[in-house]
Formats: sequence, C-alpha cells, structure tokens
Amino acid sequence: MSNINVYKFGGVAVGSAEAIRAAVEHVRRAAPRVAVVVSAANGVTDLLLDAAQAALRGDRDASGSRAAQFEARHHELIAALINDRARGARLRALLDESAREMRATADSVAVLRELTPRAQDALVARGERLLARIFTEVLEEHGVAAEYIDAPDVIVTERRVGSLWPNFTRCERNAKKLVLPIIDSGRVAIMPGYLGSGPDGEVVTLGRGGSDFSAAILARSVHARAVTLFKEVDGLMTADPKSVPSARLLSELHYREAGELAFYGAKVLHPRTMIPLVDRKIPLFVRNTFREHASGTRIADDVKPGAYPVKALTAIRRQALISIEGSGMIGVPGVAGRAFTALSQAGHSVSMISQASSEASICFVLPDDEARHAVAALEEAFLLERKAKLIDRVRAESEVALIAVVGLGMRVVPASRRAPSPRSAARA
Amino acid sequence: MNVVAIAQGSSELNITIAVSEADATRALQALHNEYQLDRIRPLADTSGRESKLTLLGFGQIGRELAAQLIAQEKHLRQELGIDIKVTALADRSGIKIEEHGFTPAALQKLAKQKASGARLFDRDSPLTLEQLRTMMRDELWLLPSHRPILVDLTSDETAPLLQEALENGFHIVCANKKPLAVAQLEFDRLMQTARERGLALRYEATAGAGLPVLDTLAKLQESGDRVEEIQGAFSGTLGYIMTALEEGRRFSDAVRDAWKLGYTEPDPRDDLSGTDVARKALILARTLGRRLELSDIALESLYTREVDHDEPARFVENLKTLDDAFAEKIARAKRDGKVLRYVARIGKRAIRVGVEAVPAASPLGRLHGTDNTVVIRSKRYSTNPLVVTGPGAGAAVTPAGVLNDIVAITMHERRKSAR
Repeated sequence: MSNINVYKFGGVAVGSAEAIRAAVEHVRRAAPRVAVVVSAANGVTDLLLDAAQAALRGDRDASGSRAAQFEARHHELIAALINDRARGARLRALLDESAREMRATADSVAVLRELTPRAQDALVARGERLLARIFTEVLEEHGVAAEYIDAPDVIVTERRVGSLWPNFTRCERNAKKLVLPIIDSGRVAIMPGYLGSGPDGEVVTLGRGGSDFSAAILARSVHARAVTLFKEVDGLMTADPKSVPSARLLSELHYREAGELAFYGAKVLHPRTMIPLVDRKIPLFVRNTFREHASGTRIADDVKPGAYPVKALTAIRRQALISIEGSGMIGVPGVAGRAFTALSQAGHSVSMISQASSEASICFVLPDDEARHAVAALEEAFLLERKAKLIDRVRAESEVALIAVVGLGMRVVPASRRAPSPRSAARA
Repeated sequence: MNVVAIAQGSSELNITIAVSEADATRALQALHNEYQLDRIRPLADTSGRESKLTLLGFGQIGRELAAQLIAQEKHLRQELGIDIKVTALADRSGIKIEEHGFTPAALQKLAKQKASGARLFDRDSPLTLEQLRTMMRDELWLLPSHRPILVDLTSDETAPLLQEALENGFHIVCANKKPLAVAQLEFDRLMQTARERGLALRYEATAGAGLPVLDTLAKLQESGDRVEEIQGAFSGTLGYIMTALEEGRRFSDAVRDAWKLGYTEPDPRDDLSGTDVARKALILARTLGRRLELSDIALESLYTREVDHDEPARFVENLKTLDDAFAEKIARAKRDGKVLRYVARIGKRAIRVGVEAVPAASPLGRLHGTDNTVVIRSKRYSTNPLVVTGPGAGAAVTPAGVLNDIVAITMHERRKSAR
C-alpha cells in the first residue's frame, strides 16, 4: 500500500465556483500525496449528449446553442476562480478550442445523420477534460502544485463479452509510469473521470457512474490507501429518505453490502465501483463535499455485521412480475432453462427469480417497459406447450416494486429471529 | 399489503421481496421499522461527536492528560455525548499513529515506558523539529480523520509546525507559550490561518495553566465589556520564593529551596529572569488585541548580570550577594504595609513585568505560595476588579486547562455539524 489517497469529485461537487473551492480545500489538506479524479460539472454531460442528439436530428440550431451554453458555463467558472491572467488565458484558449471542436463534430454528425459511439464519446469527453484542466489551474492558483494527466493514457479498456472492461494490469503499468512520478515529485495528479481508451486507442466512456469507477481503477493502480468519493450526499443511508423519513446514515458497510445496495438501485454508488478495490482491500469512503466534518460512509473489507443483521433497504420501482404457470411443468426438466434462454435471446435480463418447489409456477422480475416484449418472447418459446395445455399461461403483472433487504448479518442470525417475515410487511 | 413474491440469494446477503408498486413506500417503512434501522446511528455513526488528538510531547503533562482522558472517558461520553481519542503521539523520538485511537491500556503502557525514562521509539539521537515536521507531513497530515486536534505540550519553538497543522485542517490546543510569543507577524499568520479555515486555536493553559483566564476574558469581551488592565502573579515558582522572603528567608536560601524541591526549571535562571512571565503577559496582551513584541515588554529580572553563571549550583551560590538588597526591599515594603510580588502588569500603554511592592491586603498581596492570581479591571469591573485565583501550575491543573480546550472545540464542532 502506498500512502496515496485518491479523491473523486462528482458533478455537483465541481458544479459551481463555490463547490470547486471546497473541493480544492479538501485536496489541499491531502496534498501532495493525492490523486484526484474530476467529473464534468453537473448537467454538462447531459448538455453534450443533448447536442449529439440534436445534431443527429439535423437540428444545428439546437446543437449550436448547446455549444454556446457549454462555453458560457465554463467561462463563468474560469472567471470566478482564476485571478492570474496567464492562467485564465490558457484556460480560455483550451475552452475555445474545445467548443470549436464540439461544433465541428456536431456539424459532421448533422451532415452524416449518423452518431457513432465514437463520435458521441468524443463529444462527451470534453466535459470531464475541461473541468480537470480548470481544477488543476485552480489548485496551482491556491499554491498547490498540480499536474493534469489525461485519463485515456492511464485507463485502458479491452473488449470482453461484448462490452468494454478495463485491463487492470495495463492500467497499473500506466499509472506507475505516469501518475506516480507526478506524486513523487510533490505534485497532485488530476485526471478526468468517466474516460478511458478503447482497443484502438480511441477515447471511450465508462458508462453510468463512470467517474466513481475511474477513481476505483486509479486507486487500484497506485495501490492507494483509500478512495474518497466526494458527493452532495452524506453517504449511504439505511433507506431512501424520500420514502423513509427516519432513514439513517450508515457509517460502515462491507463491500458486499454496498455492492448489493448499489445493484438494487441505491443511486449513490454504482455496483462496479467496488470491483477494482475488493481484492486489494482498499477502503472506499463516501463523503459530503460540503460538510467538512461529516465522516460519511466507510466501505471496506473488515466491516463486521454488527448488532444489526439488516443494514439497509432499497427499492427498484417500475418492474413487472412475469409468471409461467401450468401443471405440465411439474417434473419436466428444462422449462426454466428454456424460459431464460428465450429471454436472453430477446435481450432481457431478469433481476429476481422465484420458483415454487412444486414447480407448478416460475416467476421472475424485469423492468416494466420490457414486460410486453418478454411475454411475447416466452409465448413464442412455449408455443407447443401452450397448445398442449401443459402451460396455462404466461402472465405479466405490472406496477411491481422490488424491495431488497441487505445485510451481512442475515447469514449468521437464524431465520426464525431475523429473516424478514412477509407478515411484518403485510401488517403495515 | 400483499407480497407478490420473495427470493433470497444464496449468499444470504439480501432478501428480495416483490410487492405492488403502490405498496412500495409503505413496505419500506414497515421493514425499516421492523429492523429498527432508525436506531442504527448510535452504534456506529460517530460523525459529529468524535475528536482525534495528536499529542505533541509526552512528558509529565502529556501523561497526566492521557490519564485524565481515560478517567473522564465515561463522563465525556455520557454527560456530553463526545468521544475524545488519542490517535497519534509524537515526540523527539518519532511518531506513533493508531488510526482508531489508542486503547487506555496502550496509553498507560506508553506512559509508563516514557516515565521510566525510556523513549517512545528506538532512536539514537533525538529528531530535530524539522525532521519531526517532515514525518508529520508524511504520516499524519493525510490521515483521513475528521476533526483532528493537535495538542502542543512541548516547550519548543513550534510555530512553523503549528502553522502547517492549521493548513492541514487541524485545530490547535496549545500549552506551549513559545509559538504564541513569536514575532507579531508570525502570530498574525497563525491566527489568520485559523480564522480563514474556521479552525480553533486555543491556549488557555499557556496563560493561567489551569485557571480560566482566557475564558474569562473572552466572556467579558463577548458581552461587550472592555478590559482596561490586567495584573497578575503568573509564576508559581516566583510566588513560592516571594512567600519565603516574606517569612524571613534569605533570597538565596529561598531560591535554593525551590530549586532543590524541583519547583524551578532545571536551570533556575529560566524562572528568575522573568522571561516566562513576560511570555504570558505578551500572550494576554495579544489576546486583548494589542500588537507588540516580546522586546516591547519592560522586564525586570530577579538577578543581575554579575551573578550569572551557567552552572546552577554556582549561580544559586552567587545569589547571596543579592540577599541584603532583597532583605532591605522587604523591610521597606513591610513598613508601608506592603509585600513583594513578581507582577505582570498589562496596562493600556505599557506592559511591565517585575518585582512590585503591593498592599498586603490586596488580591496580589494575599497570595500565598505557588498560587497564581489574575486581577482584571474592565469598564464593568472598575472599582472592584474581577479576580481569578488558584493553583497556577502543577501536574494536575495544566492538563485540566488543556482538556477544557479540547472539550470546548469538540462541543463547538458538534453543534456545527448538527446544523
């Protein structure tokens, strides 16, 4: 383990001059043994995606106005944060170049009426890159030596089962070559989040929650002592406070608990974030960037179940429950297998499966908007069985919510005492 | 409410329940209640009530502070709802860090080790302050702990180190006078850094050891009172000597007694020169908003240059030449109903530190032995001054002053984070 901390600032945490000042303050305290991952200012990524869509529609006015908004937003940040004239000029030149390139890309998309993933990623990447540049200069202006490092030089992805996945070994090699020397020379390394390079060396984006993932990959690559994600929330909660007003902040969670929560829709963390950290046992902190003294949530390997077997609840709404029922399924092998094959061929992924031990029915949950398509796929797959009345029907019940009850301690506490009784939910 | 389906993963990490969308919120609330998740906070969440201390210096005061922290732990937790942990110890032999806080047993063991004369760490030669600062930079500043407090219990020139600690987000509690008696500009920089970063820099123990002198001044100022003059006897050692003179002892004998009893610094000149008292006077004056240097204080030493000697025994012997002069002074004072005291007087214009003949019946004159007293005259307390008297030094009271500062910071920050 090195003594490097990796800090990541999310969109809101770098969304205004005031927020950036707070972020710089966090970094200054940890400097110089810190590497920083910076998101785009909040709303900027959507703005850029909007511009791409507008260009695809051929609406050049709309894509042009997005480019103007992009420029204005960053001009404002630079004006508010940078006093040094040379620094300001440098950043404005970068901004001009970025906006010019954005217009050119949008124009060519508008001409071709085709938006390739590459073109879209190239368009979107400027949000993080520009903000990381600004962040670097603001640090320097506050007397903290800092150096920008471009994410595609460090985060390298490769194609795996159809999607891109970072090659951890190469990332680590790159970090050793490019990031560690910066930190060892007493400077803070600043890297844009959400970006990496693809198999052909092109710029790619890492998908939803991508900047958190970038921070985790970087932390793994420099053998960091900890990763801290600075967000606009205090940390992970026992439940969404919008649904449960008495929800509490969780001070500690095991990686696996956090992973489950993230998977089941707790939006604070993306489930992938933990993956690069787990085997290296690098603890992850989620903290509120605006509350200097709040400790936030610590997610690590050494967290014990504690006195609460259940730690958190989360809900995924707008789901549908699909059930296949019929006496003909009893004792007939392969029904479940065929059902899931049919679904996966139709492009659906299910989130929960439940089968009665009588085997007379099998049900599973997937997003509501996929239900009709999934039912059609299943009806087709079981056409013969339905004709022979072996399967009565394939039914979709929509407007279902999934509630996940998560806690490491459920493993060790006997079910009679602590497993959730459906009755307790029914009583309410 | 109707549960549509239920499933448990083989990892047993989660149980998933499908309910109708309309029931989702009620189901969440019911389960939250069932598992008493609204009570999860007191178990693990320490945000807002925990302070982590780095003790700089682990001598007699440091060890006594550790003992008081251990003894008070329950009281602090139950009565005030705060948790104070020692997470780092640093002295000239190195730094020891325990991120989750030293256990009482570990602290006691280290204290015993240190008291027996051993060092905290194996090191042939002591670290310089600069080396210690580098070590702190590498190991301490970047600890991800919230609300760290650096407690300076040394008697070194630590101002640069404190400056760096502030820049790294540490609150400071100081029992060491030297970093606050630095040049005015350097002092300003410390105060300004603390102010800019919303950090506390408290130093109650420097002025009155265990006596609440600064606290009293702060309260007067907060309520709009204006302090006109402070006079005080701030040295237990010199108090002892003055009382002995009053009881008829010769000056040199009184000093020898104090030296032998360990009331003085190893080199008694450190006390007799009055520099230590002058530093206290300077700190008090600066606290009142005055801007001045140590050299601006009119300082009267208790010995003359002729008797100076580096060897303490010889020095004390030489003091005999001053005995007659002191005896005469005492006698003269007595005729006027007065006694001699070593007094710091922080007036509107001048600051004077030296021997004064004061009325025997005055607050200063009534003082006995090693006790300290501070007499504050303000706009409100003009005819009848505010007096704070009590033991001014000693192993138990100085750490108590330090502990008060630590508790004050923790409580203040807790209120801040609760907002």
